[in-house]
Amino acid sequence: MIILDVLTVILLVVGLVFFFAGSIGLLRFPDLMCRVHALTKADNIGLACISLAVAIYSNDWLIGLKIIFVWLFILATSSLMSFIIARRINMSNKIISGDSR
Amino acid sequence: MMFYLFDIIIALMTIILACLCLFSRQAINSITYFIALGLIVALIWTRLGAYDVAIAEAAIGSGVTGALLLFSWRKLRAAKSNITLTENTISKKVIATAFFIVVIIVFSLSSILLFSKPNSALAYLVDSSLSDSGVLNPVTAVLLNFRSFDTLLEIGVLFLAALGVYSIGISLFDYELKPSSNFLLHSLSKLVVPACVLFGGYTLWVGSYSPGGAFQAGAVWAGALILLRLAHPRLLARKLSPWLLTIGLIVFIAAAIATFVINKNFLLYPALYAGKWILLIETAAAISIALLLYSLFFIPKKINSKSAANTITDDAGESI
Repeated sequence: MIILDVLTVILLVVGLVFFFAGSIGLLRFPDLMCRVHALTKADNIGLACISLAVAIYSNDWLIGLKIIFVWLFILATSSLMSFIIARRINMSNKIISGDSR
Repeated sequence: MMFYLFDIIIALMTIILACLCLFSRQAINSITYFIALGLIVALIWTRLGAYDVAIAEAAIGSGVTGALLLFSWRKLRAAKSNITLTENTISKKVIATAFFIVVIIVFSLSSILLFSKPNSALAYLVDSSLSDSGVLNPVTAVLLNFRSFDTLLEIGVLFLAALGVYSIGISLFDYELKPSSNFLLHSLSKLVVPACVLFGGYTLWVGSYSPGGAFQAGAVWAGALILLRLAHPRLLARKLSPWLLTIGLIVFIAAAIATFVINKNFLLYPALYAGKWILLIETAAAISIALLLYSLFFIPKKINSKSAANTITDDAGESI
């Protein structure tokens, strides 16, 4: 049990680090392409770690399986959304310089 | 202790996001803050244990409303090159008065919450008569049995909203998408739409004994429909029957009349079959809610005006 708890904490911390890096990237990167890149890559890995941690912590294979499914669906949708956003940026490059801080 | 800290953080974030949403100058910033606010409010509902409301808030309050606001913003931006919200002309006296009123309301509400017993008589009443309601989920029991009259009127309000949308007849999404513009969207719709249909049905079914129900199922189905329409613009074009929009209200009123005939009382279900009545009404309501939310985005244009009728050639697809 203690091994599982330690594993949960480690995965949570790693996930939070990835989320933190992604959020900093969202705030600090210069243009939209970089921001999308930082957000989707870091957040998907962060979400993977956190959902794994929750799945282990739940101690029930059915709940764990549901959480893994949630992660897979978010992975599919968010990577697709980032692709669509990137495509829009490519199509209208003027947005990049116009709207960002 | 840990959870109290979390609660305080999300409560503060709600207030901050609400202020940002109200007082930011650019409309697009306000919309972004509004969507974030909806997600935070969904978190609050989760912390309160009201998972039904959390799903509905995240899907309708944040997702659908946010998308509608974004579409309107896009429309407005196309009309005028640059929109900024009107200058804050509210005087400081008004703000001070409003702040004073809010403080009084918060103070009185929190004092009520602090000094009242958590187990009120109402919760006891619901719990004690839950076994008569035909369902095991207290929220569904209240919504569709004990106070089903309220829900009937709510469905009526939704129907009125649909009527309003139809009579205004502005499609927010009238620019044509190229059918094969995005193959990734196609593959995503293949993956997600069946899952959405399944999950919506599951939510509807599970509503009788755990969080779920017609509104959540309707929201999930509406999301599936909107995604399907975005991925395949021609697939769902102009086949939305207004009868399906009204089926929730029709079934609900029919149930009210039927129960009046059987039991001499509106919406007093026969004791043995209460669960089945509720499931029937909820299924019809979920279909209506899904189509209503979908029709907020894509309205069949033929219905609204004579000028649009000229442009439409495939009248056979319409099923009124």
